[in-house]
Amino acid sequence: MKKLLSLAVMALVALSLAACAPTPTTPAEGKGTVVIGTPAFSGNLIGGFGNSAYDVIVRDMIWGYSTYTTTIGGEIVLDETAVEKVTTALDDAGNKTYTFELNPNLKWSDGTKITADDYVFAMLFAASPEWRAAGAVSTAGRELVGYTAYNAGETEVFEGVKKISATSFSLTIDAANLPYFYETLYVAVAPSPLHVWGQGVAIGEDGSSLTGDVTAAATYVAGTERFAPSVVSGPFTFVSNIDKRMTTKFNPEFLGDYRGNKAKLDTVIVQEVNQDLDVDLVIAGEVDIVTGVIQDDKIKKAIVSDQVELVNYKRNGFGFISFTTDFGPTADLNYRKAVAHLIDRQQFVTTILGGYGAMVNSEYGLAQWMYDAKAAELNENLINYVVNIDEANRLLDLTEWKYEADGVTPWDATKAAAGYWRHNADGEVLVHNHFGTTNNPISDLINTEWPKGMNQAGIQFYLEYGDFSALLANYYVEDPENRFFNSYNLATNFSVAYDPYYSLHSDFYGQYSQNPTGTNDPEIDRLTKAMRSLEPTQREEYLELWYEYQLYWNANLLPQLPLYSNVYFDVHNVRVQGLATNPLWTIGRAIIDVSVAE
Amino acid sequence: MLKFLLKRIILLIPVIFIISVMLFGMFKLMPGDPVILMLPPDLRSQAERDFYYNAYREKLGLDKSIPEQYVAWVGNIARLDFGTSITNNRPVREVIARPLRNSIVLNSFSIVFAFIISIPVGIKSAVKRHSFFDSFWQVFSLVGLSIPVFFIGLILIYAFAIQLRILPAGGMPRMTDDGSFRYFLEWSRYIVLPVTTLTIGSLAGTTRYVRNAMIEIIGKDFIRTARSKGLNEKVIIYTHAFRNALIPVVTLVAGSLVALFGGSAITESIFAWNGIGRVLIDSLNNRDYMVVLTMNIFYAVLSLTANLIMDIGYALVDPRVKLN
Repeated sequence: MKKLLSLAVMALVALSLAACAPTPTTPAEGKGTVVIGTPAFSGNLIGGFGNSAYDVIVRDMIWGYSTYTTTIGGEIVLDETAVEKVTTALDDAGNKTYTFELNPNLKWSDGTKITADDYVFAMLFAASPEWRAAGAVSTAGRELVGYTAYNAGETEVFEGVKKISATSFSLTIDAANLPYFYETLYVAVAPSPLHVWGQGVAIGEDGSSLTGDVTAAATYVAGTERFAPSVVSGPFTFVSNIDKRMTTKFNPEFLGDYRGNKAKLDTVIVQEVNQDLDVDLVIAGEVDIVTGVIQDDKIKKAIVSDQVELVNYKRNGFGFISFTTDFGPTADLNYRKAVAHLIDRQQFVTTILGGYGAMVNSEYGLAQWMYDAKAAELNENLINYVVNIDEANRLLDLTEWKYEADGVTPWDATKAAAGYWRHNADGEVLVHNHFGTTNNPISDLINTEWPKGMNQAGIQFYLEYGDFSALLANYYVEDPENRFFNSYNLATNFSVAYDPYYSLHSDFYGQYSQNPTGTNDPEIDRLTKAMRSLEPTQREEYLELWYEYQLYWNANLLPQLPLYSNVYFDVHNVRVQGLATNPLWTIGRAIIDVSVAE
Repeated sequence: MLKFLLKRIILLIPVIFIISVMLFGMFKLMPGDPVILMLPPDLRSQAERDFYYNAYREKLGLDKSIPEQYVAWVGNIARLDFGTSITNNRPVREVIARPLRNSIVLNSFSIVFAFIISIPVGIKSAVKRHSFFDSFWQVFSLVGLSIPVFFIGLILIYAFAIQLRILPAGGMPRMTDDGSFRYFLEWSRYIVLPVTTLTIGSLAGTTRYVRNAMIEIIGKDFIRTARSKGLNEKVIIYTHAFRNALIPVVTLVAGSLVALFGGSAITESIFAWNGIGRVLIDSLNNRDYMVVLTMNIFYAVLSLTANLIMDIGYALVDPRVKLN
């Protein structure tokens, strides 16, 4: 009996042990394949070697665990999957140190642990003179203490970067760069695989330098890893790039993005497709997703098809005419406001965008959180520059260009017609020279529409066509002795860190690659400085300053005339589910939430 | 013959030199600075921008005078170093290798198919002049010559890829090349439409060319003599007539040699075929001079070589032609 009882107890114990034992789990895996169609890409999968936005799609997919990252809504947040804790401290000189405690479970795609070494290596390597000599253009670490000397090769120690332990490191922002509303971007760093990129290289004993042959490492990375990263940290691993098709696969070692989300797909292919047929290819099922469609004929085709669905969002930027505010007739604010009243901006939305767009009246993007908060007030208080010949002539009469050819007789608006031009007191005729790029319907429409109004205001208008690099050469005033153009048409998109200081502050007056409009205005100086000099937590104060800036820009500066802001359409096959892109959460980030229907 | 060959090869050198100077000079005269396009947008100061601008110019050798750049470029070409592609930031060799291969494959198929079809069709059309067969191919060739290649491509895409969905609309095979029959089938699906587009485009002209050459020969006295001697019609056409009509065909073949490597920019763009034609167009648009220069010099050498092969071909085909 006793034997039976013991056996029964032993069986019970065995059973309960078996019940409590961890169930063997199969590693997480993705399901299904999605093909993303894009225009031509270069295949540079490490930053610093080109500006292709389509390379960035794959870079966003294969690299992860940045200390600070942007959310779907465009906010900058700590990536709490990668970083368990962050503390800050100010020293006597005003330098601010961020100390990061990493998640000890992070791994590279080959299973190797990600440690503080990888983060410190990433910053030291990207800021090193050896990396620059390998052909990279990197501004990583630019705002940290000791960057200038380290980057110039004057010292091997980068003071503002320090490894503390296997899972901890610190970055110190130079006081000269503080306060800054977007300061967390200064300490946003993603790890680089030291064990692959830096063979023979190690973090120095001081925790702030690299030992070993960094030149060889830089040459290897720039020549090999750049095109085919063998080890990555993001939701997908790089497999191949052959014949304009990049293949990536689910990374089982990835712990998740800032929300803890992992990829749902097994394979994502990014493939170059004919841009005239991209929507047709989605409809035919050849390709699953194409993004950034703006042509109204394609949009309409997608809308009527039952094979595709669309995600649309407003562009975080706009197309515009840029004026030179320190050269020629456009140097006068009244002149700029006058010519703004001589072109029908709605035509750009109707004719070129097919109605899929909106007008903006100042320097903002429709997807910005600031615009969201202040839309009603902006729409009420901003000047809407519509066609108004009388107003244009009134403003022009406030400039020097108010005479007939004799330089004495006042110019008469009742005689306005092509050939009856305005002159100044010296008898010089008023001429407006504009540069537009070829094969650009915006340039064509400007050339058609603007002269209609210009002729009614006595302005001789010429548009010269050229390619984009010629436009930039003139826009950036590469040849200051031979300035010629008064305006250009371009487009821009805003990044998460909206900071007009670099493009409009007089600190950069004369540096036309930074401040191409040649703006030199004390009030703009005050506003742009004030906006950026807030703490990241001072959102309300930032918003009020931003609003004040927009009003001033629109009424008292007008360095650019906004023409249109697109609505973008991302077209996807019906089998694709969960696609939620927006201007700040582009396809490379959004693909993590995408799955395919069985 | 050897003397002739040697003389022609030696004469190639000054011709290539003049072409290289002209091409190099032309590209250097074009407005626009390619280095500006390489600079990233987040540079904060003019000093930073100047630093990287000058560094790039130095790296690419653009800081030297134009004659110095030319000498350096020629020296590099001799070492098979074709420079760096500005757009891709990698050696030109790497940028053009695979697209060149893809273009050769594409063009080889279309040239072979075009000749396989056009030569017998041209011969038969000439022999059976004014027949239904001849009229059909006359109309076909006229239509083929009139319709732009891109339109033919788009029609094929619409029919087979979008409506019938039996062939892909473009791109390259999605499978990795593992040498298997499955890969070959997959690859075949992707190449059918671009090859068909190119073949139709060149078939029209080639057929008319062969037909007209044959008609001219068939009308000659020696053909009448051969017939009156009672020779078999096939022997008359293929042994006597066609051989004499070969000279224009040799011209076509030599021209095809250049086309083999030339890429078909329009067709490759329509079908997103990773070929050298598209690389050239993109490089031109992006001021990627090194790629464009390299390919243009290559085509110049190829054209001169094709001319030489053509002359030798004439001598082989027509004993009346003496190479000296």
